[in-house]
Amino acid sequence: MTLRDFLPSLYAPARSEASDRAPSTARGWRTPLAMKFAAALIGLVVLVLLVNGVINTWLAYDQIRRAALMVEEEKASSAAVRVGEFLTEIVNQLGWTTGAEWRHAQSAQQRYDFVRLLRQVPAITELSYLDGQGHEQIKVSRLGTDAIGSNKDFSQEPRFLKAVADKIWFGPVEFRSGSEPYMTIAVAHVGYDAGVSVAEVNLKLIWDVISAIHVGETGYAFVVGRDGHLIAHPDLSLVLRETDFSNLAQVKQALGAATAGEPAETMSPRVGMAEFATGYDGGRVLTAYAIAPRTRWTVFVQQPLAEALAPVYRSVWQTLALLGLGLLLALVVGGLLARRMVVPIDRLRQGAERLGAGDLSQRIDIHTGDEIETLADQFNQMAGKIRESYETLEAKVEARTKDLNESLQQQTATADVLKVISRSAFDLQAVFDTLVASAVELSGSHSGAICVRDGQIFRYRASSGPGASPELHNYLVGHPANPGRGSIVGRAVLSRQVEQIPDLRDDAEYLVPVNSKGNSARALLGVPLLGKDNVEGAIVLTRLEPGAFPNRQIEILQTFADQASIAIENVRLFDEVQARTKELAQTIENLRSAQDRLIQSEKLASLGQLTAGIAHEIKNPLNFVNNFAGVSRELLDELQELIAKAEPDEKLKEEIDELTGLIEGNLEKVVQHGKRADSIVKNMLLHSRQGSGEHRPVDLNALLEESLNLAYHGARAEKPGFNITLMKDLDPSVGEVDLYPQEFNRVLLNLISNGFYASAKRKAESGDANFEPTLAASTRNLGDRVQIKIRDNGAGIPPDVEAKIFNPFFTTKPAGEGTGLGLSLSYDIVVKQHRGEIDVATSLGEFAEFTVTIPRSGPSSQALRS
Amino acid sequence: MHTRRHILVSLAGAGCLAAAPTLAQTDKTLRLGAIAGGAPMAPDSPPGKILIGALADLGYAPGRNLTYTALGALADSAKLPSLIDELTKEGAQILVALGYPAAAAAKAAGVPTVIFAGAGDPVATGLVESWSHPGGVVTGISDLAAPLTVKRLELLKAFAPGLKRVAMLYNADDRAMTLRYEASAATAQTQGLLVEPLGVREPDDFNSAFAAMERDKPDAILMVADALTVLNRKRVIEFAAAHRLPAIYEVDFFARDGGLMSYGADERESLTRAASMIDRIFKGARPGDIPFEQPTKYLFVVNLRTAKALGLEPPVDLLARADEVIE
Repeated sequence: MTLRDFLPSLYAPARSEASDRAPSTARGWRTPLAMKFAAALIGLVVLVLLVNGVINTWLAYDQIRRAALMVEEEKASSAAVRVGEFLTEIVNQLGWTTGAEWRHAQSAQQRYDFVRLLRQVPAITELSYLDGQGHEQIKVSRLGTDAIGSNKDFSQEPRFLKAVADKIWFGPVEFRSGSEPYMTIAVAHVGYDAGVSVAEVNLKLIWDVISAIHVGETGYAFVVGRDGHLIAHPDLSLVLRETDFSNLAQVKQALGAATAGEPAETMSPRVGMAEFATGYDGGRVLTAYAIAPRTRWTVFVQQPLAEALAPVYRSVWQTLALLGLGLLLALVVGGLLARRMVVPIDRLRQGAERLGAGDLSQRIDIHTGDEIETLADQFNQMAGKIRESYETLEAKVEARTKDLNESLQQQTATADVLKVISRSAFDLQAVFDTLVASAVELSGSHSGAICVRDGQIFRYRASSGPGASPELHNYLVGHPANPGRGSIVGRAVLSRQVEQIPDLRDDAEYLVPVNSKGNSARALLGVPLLGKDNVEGAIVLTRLEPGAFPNRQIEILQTFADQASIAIENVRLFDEVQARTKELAQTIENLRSAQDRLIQSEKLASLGQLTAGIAHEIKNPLNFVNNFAGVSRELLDELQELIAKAEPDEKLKEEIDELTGLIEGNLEKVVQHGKRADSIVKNMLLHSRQGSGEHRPVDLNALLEESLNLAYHGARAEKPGFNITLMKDLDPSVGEVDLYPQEFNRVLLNLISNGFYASAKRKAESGDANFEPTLAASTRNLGDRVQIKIRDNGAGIPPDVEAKIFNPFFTTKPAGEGTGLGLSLSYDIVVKQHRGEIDVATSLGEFAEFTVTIPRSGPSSQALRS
Repeated sequence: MHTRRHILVSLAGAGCLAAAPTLAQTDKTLRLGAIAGGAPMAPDSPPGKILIGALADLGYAPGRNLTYTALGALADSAKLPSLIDELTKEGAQILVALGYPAAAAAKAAGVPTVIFAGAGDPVATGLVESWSHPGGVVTGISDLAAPLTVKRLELLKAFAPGLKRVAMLYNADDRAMTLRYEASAATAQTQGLLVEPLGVREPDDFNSAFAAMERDKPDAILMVADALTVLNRKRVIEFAAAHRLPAIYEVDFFARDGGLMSYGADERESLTRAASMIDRIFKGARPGDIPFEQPTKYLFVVNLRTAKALGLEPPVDLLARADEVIE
C-alpha cells in the first residue's frame, strides 16, 4: 500500500458502509467534512510556509547577494594583495642587491650574491646588473650563459631608464615561445648613478599564488595584464596560450579603470565593484576585480553564480522541502485529526440514518468523551422514546384496527343486506329473511326474528339463528304479538323504542313461555320498525347469556330495523304508485276514447251538416230542373201537336221530328239525371241524419232483425222485382250490447243493402234463373265482444276493390246508385265510435262477408285494438 | 488501526529512500601506459615513483582507478612501435613517454602521449605544431635540453676552468640529441671549447666511444642522457672516474650514482606537470589543446665525493649555485 493509496482512505473512512445503505446521500456534490478540514489545514500550513519561505528567500537572496558581492570584492582585494606580494617579494629580494654599498663589492661577491638570489627566488630566471651608464656588467642565468662584464648597452632600454626614473620598473608581460610568460623587473640601486638590478621573472610561478586563491568551492582568481592578456590563471594552459581576456565585459571595464587612476606607488589595490558577468567559459559568474598596484595588473576573482547564490538556492530548496514536508505532515496530521473527528460524526450520521430508516433497535456507540458522545446519547434516548411511543401506538393501532375491522365487517354485512334488499326490492319476505339472518350472524345471537304489522297484530315473518328452532317458529307464527309488555315485540311496538330484557327469568312481565318450544334464550333485544306514521313491526335478537346487549349490537339491529322499515315503506309506496298508475292509465284511455268519439261525432255532425246543407241547397235547384224538364216535355208534346197541325212537308217534318226527337231525348236525359241527382241527395240526406249521440244497451239481435226488415222492404219498394232469401243465425246469448242505436242501425242497413245489391246484381248479370240471391246474417257472443256477420252470395270483391272498399266516395255502383259513403261511414261508426272492428272476407264469384265485432261494453271499454 | 500503521511504514520508507547513500561513481579507470626508450619506468623506479605519487595527488590510485603499465625499448628504438602497440592492446588510453624516440613512436601510433623528458624543442623536433597549441596527440613538458646543454658546458667550464675539449656522448639516432649537439657545439665555440661528438647507437658503440676517448682524452665529458646512455651510465661514470674526467650529466640521479654533477630540469616538476596533463587528458581535454610547457625549476646537483675522488675542488660560487650537494 503506497502513501497515495493510503491517503484517500484517511479521508473517507466509512464511506463504503454508508454507500451501501443510502447511495443517494453518500455520493453526490457533498464534500466530506474530513476533506474540508484537511483542506483547510493543508491550505493554512502551505500558505504559512509559502509566505515564510518566500519572504525568507527574498531576504536571503538580497543578503546573500550583498554578502557575496562583498566577499568577492574582499577576495579580489586580497588576491591583488597576494599578487602584489609576489612581486614585492621579488623586488625585496632584488633589494638585497641594490644597497648603496653593493656596487663597490667584489665582482665575485656580486656574482655570488646574484647566484644566491637566483637560488632564493625560483621565479627569477636571469639576473643582471646594469651599471650607472646602463651597461650590463653581471649576468647570471639559469638557462642562458652567464656573462661577466659584457658591457651590453641597455642605457636606452626602459628597464634602465624607467628604473632609474621610478626606482622600480615592472616591464610588460611577454610570452616567450608564444607560451611562457615572463616579465622584467628592474630596481634601481640606491645612490646616484648606482645602477640597476634587472631580473627576468618567470610569471608561471605566480600560478602557485593564484591557484592557491579559492573563492568558495569552485571560484578562483586570475590575473590579466594591462593589455588584457591572461597572466595567471589556475588553468595554466590558458596562460600559456596567451589567452586574451580583454573581450570580457568586466575585463574591459577593469582595464579602463586600470589605465586611469592613481600612480603605481600605491600599495593597496584598487577594488572595482563586484558584479554579475559572464565568465570566459560562458557561465554566469559573480566577479570582482582589484587593480594590483605598481604593475596595474587586474586581479579578478570570480565565482560561478550558482555557487555564489547557492545559499539562496539552498534557501529556496529548503523552503520547498519544508513546504513539501509541511504539506505531507499536514496531510497526515490533518487526516488523522479529521479521522478522529469525522469517524464519530460519521457514526452519528449512520445512527441517525438508521433511525430515519426506522430501525429503532440499534444504539449509537460513541465514546469520544466530548459533545459528540453527548449527542449520541441524546440520539439513543430519542430512539428509545420513539420506540416506546411506537409500541404504544402499535398497540393502539391494533386495537383501533380491530374495532375498525369489526365495523367494516358490519358495514359490509349491512351493505350486503342492502344489496339483497335492493335487488329483491319488492319481495318483502326475502328482505325480512336476509335481514334477520344477517342480524343474527353479525351479532352472534342465539336467534333473531322479525314481526310485521298486519292490521292490529304483529305477525312473525322471519326468524333465523341457532336458536330459531322449527317449534319456536311455529309457536311464534301461531301467536302473533300484541302491543304490550308481554313480549319483547309488544314492548317495542308499544314504546316505539329499543327494548331490552336482560334476563327474562327475572322479568315478571314477560309472558312468552320460557324454555318452552325450544326457547332457551335468556336475554332479549327488540328494536321497533318505525314507519312514517305507525310502528310497522319489530326485530328481535336473543342471547343465551343474560345481560345487557352491547351497544354495537343494538346499533346493528337498529340499522337493520331501519332497513326493514324502509323496505316495507318502499313496498307500500310502490303499490300505491302502481294503483295510481293504473287509474291514470284508465283515465287516459277513457279520455282518449271520449276524444275519439267526440271527434267522430263532430265529424259526423259536420258531415251531416254539410250533406244536409248541400242536399237542402241542391234540392231546390233540382226541383226546378225536374219540374222544368217535365214542363218542357209537356210543352214539347204541345209543340208536336201544333206542328202536326201545321202539316209541314216531309223534309221539314223529318227535320222537325228529328229536332223534336233530339229535344225529347235531351229532356229525357235531363229528367233521368235529375232523378239521379235527386236520389243522390236523398241518399245523402239519408246518411246525414244525425244521431242522437247517445249510447245505451240494445238488444243486438232485435236490432239486426229490425234492420233486415227495413232493408228488405226498402229494397223491394225500390225495385219491385227484387227478391232475396234471408238467413238468420242469431246467438241468443249475445244479449244486450252497449252501442249507439241509430248509428249502428245505419251500419247494419248499409251492409245489408250492399249485400242485397251484390246478390241481385249477380243474378241480373248471370242471367241464371236458378241462382238464388241469399243474404246470411249471424250474430255471435264472444264474451266481452259480439260479432255480426253479413254474408251475401254476390260476385265477390276483387282484390283491388277490396283495398279501397272503405274509402269515402268509393263505390262500384253505377252512377246515381251509390254515394260511396256507406262503407266509409260504417267503418267510422264501428271502429271509431264503437271501438270495434269491421272486416271483409270475400271469394270472387262466390260470396262477400262483412264481419263486425264490437265490445260488449261498448264505447266505454278499452279498445279492442291495442 | 491498520491505517495508522500504514502511515508510519510509508513515512519510514520515504525516509529510507531519502537517506539512501549515493554511490560516488568514477567508473572510469585511467589506463596509463609508460613507454620509455630505455628502461621501463617501473612504479618503483625513481621517475615511476614520482609519477605515481603525482597521480595519487590527483586522485588516481593504482588498483582502484589507475592501471599503469611500463614498457621500455631498452635502447632498441625499433621495438618502440610494437611496444606501444602492446600497451594499447592492453588497454592503455594515454601514454607517458620518456625520450624523443618513444614520443615520436607514440605520435606515430596516434596515442595521446605526454612526454615529460627528452622532448627538447618539441616544435623543432616536430612533435608539436607550437608550444601554445601542440595540435596533435603529443603534449608534455620540455627539458629545454638545448639551452641547458649550453649551460652544462658552462658549468663544466666553471668547474674545470682549463677545460678545452669536451666529449659529448649522445645517441645519434635521437634527433633531439642531434639538435643538442648542434646547439652545444655552437655555444662551445663562443666559450672557447671544443665539443667532440661521440654518437652511440647501441651498447656496443660505447666501447668504441670509450676507445676513442682513451685515444684522444678529452678534458671533460658531457653525457646526453637518453635511454641508451642512461642504461650504460655506470660504464660512463666508471670510465670518467677511472680517467679522472669531470663530467656533467643531465639528470640528478646520475650525480647520485657517482657522477660529478648534473644540471637539468627538475624531474619532480616535470613528472608533476606530466601527471597534471595526463589528468586533464583523461578528463577529456585533447592533448593538442594543452600547451607544451617549459620547466621552471632546474636542479644543479654536485657530488662532492666524486669531486674529491677526482681531486677537484669545486669553486665556491659553483657550490653556491648547487641545489643539492652530495657528500
